[in-house]
Order: sequence, then C-alpha cells, then structure tokens
Amino acid sequence: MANQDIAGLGSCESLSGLEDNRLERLFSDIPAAVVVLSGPDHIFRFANEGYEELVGRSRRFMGLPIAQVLPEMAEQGFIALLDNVYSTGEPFFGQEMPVAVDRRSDGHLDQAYFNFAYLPAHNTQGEIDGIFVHAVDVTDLVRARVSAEELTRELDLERARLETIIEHIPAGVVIADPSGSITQANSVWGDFFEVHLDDVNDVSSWKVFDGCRPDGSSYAADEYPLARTVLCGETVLGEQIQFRSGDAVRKTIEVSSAPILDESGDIVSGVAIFSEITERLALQGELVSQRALEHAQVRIDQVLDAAGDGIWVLDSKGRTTLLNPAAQQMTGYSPQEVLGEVSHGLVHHSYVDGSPYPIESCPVYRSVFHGEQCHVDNEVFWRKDGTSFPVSYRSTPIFDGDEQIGAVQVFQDLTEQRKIETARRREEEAEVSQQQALQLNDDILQGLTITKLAFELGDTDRALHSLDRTISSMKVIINGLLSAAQDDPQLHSGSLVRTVPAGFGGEGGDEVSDNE
Amino acid sequence: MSDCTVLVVDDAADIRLLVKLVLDSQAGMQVVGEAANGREAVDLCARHKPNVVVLDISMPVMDGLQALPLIREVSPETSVIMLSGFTSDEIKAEAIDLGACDFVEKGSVGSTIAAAVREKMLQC
Repeated sequence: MANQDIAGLGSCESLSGLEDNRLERLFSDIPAAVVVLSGPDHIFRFANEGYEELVGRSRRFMGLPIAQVLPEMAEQGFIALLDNVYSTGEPFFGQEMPVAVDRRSDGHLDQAYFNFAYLPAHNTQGEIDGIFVHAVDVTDLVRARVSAEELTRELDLERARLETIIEHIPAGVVIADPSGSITQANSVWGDFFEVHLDDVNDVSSWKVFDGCRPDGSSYAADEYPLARTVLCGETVLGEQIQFRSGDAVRKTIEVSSAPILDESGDIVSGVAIFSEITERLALQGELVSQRALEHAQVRIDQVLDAAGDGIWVLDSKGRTTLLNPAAQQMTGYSPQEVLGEVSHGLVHHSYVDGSPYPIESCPVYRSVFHGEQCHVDNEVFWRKDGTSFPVSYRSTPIFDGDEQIGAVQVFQDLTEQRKIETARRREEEAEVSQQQALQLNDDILQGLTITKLAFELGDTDRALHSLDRTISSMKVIINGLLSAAQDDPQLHSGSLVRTVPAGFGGEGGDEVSDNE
Repeated sequence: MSDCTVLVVDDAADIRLLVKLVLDSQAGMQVVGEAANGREAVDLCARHKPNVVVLDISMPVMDGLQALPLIREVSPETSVIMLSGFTSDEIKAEAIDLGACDFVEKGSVGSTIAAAVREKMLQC
C-alpha cells in the first residue's frame, strides 16, 4: 500500500475504535508497519505486527506516547517531525530514512532504513487528532544498493588503477572481450595502430589491422594472436607481426597474449602485450651482417695467407693496401714497409738488365690507371735486397660498383720453373745429341762393316768410299764433343782425346779438322 | 741336300750387297731375299720360310727387335742372327728373349757372319 493511499482512511478515533476490527485485521496483514497515533503526545492507539517487528516485540507501547516507547526516535528528530505534521497538517514522506532502533531493548541501536509517511488524521470536525504512520523497511534494499555502490566504486578504482598501470607499461597493451571487442587499450596501442576502439567491436573488424607474418602471408581477422586467445583460449608467446607498405616492411611487433578465465574456466577476456621490434630487427640484421662481414674477412685473410701466389693490392693511386705472406716471402718486404707506397718503385723499377723501367710503360700502371687487365711472364721483380727474380704476374682492376678502386696483382716467382725448363731443355738437347750420336755411331759401324766386307771381297773402291764416309761421321762426333766441352764448364777440353790413334797416318797429337 | 736359304735384312744397301756376296760365296748357302726394314723382312719370311735370317736392329719402318717376334710367328723354323752395332748386354738379352739365335756385331768380318750362318745351317 502506497503511503499516499492511506490518507483517506478516516480519523484516528475511528481507526482506533473499530467495532468489527476489519481494518485492524487488514492493517495487521499489510506487509508494512502501520501505526495510529493520537493526540499531540502521539499515543499509540494501533500498531500492526509489522510495526512490532520493526521496533521489537519486547516493547509494550499501546496507550503509551511514542516518545516514551521509542525514546531513540526523539533523539533522531522523528518526534519533531510528528509534532510538525500534527500541528501543520502537512504530511511527511520519508524515503530511505536512516533510523536507529533498539529492537532488543538492550541499548544497542540497529541501523535501518525506511520509506515512511506521517499522515494527519482528522476527527469528524476536521480537526487533526492523530497521525497515521505507514513505514516500509527498505534496509536490505538500501544496504544492497550501498554495497553495490561501494563495489562499483571499488571497481572503478581498480579499473582506474589498471588503466594507470597499463598506460605506464612501456609496451602496447590491449584487452578484448570474448566477442573480440576491444574494451581497453593503452596509448602505446593507440599511437601504433591509429585505430579507434569503437572501430574494433568484434573479431571480424580486426581485418582493419592489415598485418602479415614474416613469410608475407596476411592475417585473417580471427588469426591474430588476441583473436585466437579470446576465441579459443590460446596463449601466444612472442609472435611477430609485420605491417607493410607495399613490399617494404614498415614496422614489426612482437605479440604475446593470454586468456583471462573465470572460476568456471570460461574466457571472460583476453589481454595482449606487444612491443615494436623494428629497430631491434634492424640492429640484429646489421649485427648479423657485421658478423658475416667479419667472418668473410677472416676467410679472406685465411685464403690470402694460404695462397702460394703473391698477392699485392693497390689503390686507385697505385699505392699498396695489401701484401699477402707469399708476396712478402718472395720480395722480402714486410707490410709495414710497403703499405701506402707505390709498388712500382719497390719491386718493378727496373728491367732484367738493370735499366730503368718507366712507370708509364708498366702494365700494372695501365691496370691501375686505365683499367686494363694484363698478364706478363717475361719480366722480373726486385727484392728488397736488390736481387731480382723472374716473375709471371697478372694485374686486374677492381671495382666498387662502376668505380675503379684499384688493382690486384697476382704473381709467381718463376725461378724454379725456369730451372726446370732449362734442365728439361738440356735433357732434350742431350737426348737429341745422344740420338744423333747413336745414329752417327751406327753410321760409323755400318761404314766400318762395309769397309771390312768390301776389303774382304776385294771391292777396294767400295771399301775406300765407305771409309771416307766413316771418317766424316767420326769428325762430326768429335767436333760435336769439342763444341760441347766449350759450352759446358764441367767438361774440360783437356780431358778429350784429341790425338788421332796410331795406324791412321799420324804420330799422334794431330788435331782433328775438317780438312782431313 | 738343298742349300741353306738366307734372308738378309739391313737398311744399308751396301751391307745387304756385301753380306749377300759373302754368303753366296759360301757353299751350301743361298741368299733368297733382301729386306730394307722389318716389315719387308716379315713379309719375305712368310713367303720364303728361309732357314736363316741375318737381321739388323736399327732400321726404319720396323726395327729388328720389333720384327723378330713376327718373323718367329710367320716362320717358326727360321733361325735369326742379329747383326747390329748395338752391343749392350741389355739389347742382346732382349734379342735373345724375343727369339734370336745369335748376335754378330757390325764391323765383324764377312767370315764371322758366314760362320754364324753356317752354324745355324748345320742345325737345319
């Protein structure tokens, strides 16, 4: 029953003096507190069970003034309100009024809340003779509301705290609900993606991010880490997502995400944290490149050190920039002695006969300054100690893009090779000489055989003719031997028998000549 | 008794002539052919099957050591006497291994050659 509906029920006397008590029974059944007070002292004339429960059943109040029954009411100003209603006739309606009631009559006041109405009751003369009180205990309602408000305040506080925390995290933080709607994100996220939260209200809208994997494949809306988290509960760690502009990678982030579960294990939201790693990857790439470069340099150095050929590298002005160990060994120069120096003046300044070798005529010079490749194997290089050695060298220009930056000479000391060639040539000459000697020997033997047989058969003419030829062959051999003795210092002419044997017309000691 | 047939092989025509004269002057010997190189010698041996071949070593086209095994193949009964200026033991041993029966040095007199042939003739 609304408080306002009670006003027309009649006077206080009629309410307190009902013959059939119908209203008394009715009021007793109302799930509210109903009281009828009479007179200026507000004496209890009627009170239902609801009121008794409200103020405590241990109290005796019928026929007693309210100030006596409920003294705590006076302290709280309610008696004054009653007095005002009684005197002015103006009803009073209280909403969720806090009331402290000593229900147990032990001096302990229970805090409660009531919606109540103080309504003036009039006698038959229209005079106010009492007050009709209707009160509904809304204590639980108020407490529930207060509690909810408290929880809401706490929730707002925690939310604010969370927002502060995630805002200060030096990484992008984003929270989404199970539908994929982003519910919270910090400024790092906002600055990176430049997407409004309202634009991402479900998973399908995530295609707006336009990310791709390192292999270039694009993400479908439901394939992003946070989407997989809120849809399937997947925990993602360190997944890289690229954002491209054309074929170029603009930015790369590394994302981790995890679901937030309730007590039942259901997904209530998902949180993702990401960091931009574009610069880190670039630095890593540079580091890898640097290491690769260093490794390559080590390999190059190993190759140069192991090379048996001399390698001499010049810059665009012909100055030495590199000298490998083989070149050092061949020329006698150390790197410290030649670095920065023009190589021509060190090892190529003269021809084999010692005459000056103009640099303008040098093929290496043309290689350095005119980009010509050359191969020369009939010159010499000069060692630090002033001696020379036959050399075969190639000079090749080297380029950085289209710009020539110098030349590299690769050379071999031909000393041993020349020795071998000389020895081989002498062996071949000796073999030819030997074959010639054998042939001559055979000719001589044939000649002697013919001479003997001819003499034996009495063919004197044939015999003498053959003897002539035989002697000529012998001269050839002997003169050849004499010539070889002059060329070869190991053969002393004095060791040769230069005398004609006895029986051939001479006493000995005659020198063989072509005239005989 | 038929004469012992002989084939003279030498690249020098004078030697072939003189050896032929020497051998033809010997009783019981008949020079049935002359060859200037080993190839011709093998062909003539195949044709005439001589009892003895006087074979030079140093010849063009095919030398005596190359011809020797071929002669033995086409005329196994033929005795081969090497006539050469190469007197090294190695040459001699190689010639013997290839089937030569005797070795006469060039520069030897005709009677030496004839004696070597006669020795083989008596074995025919």
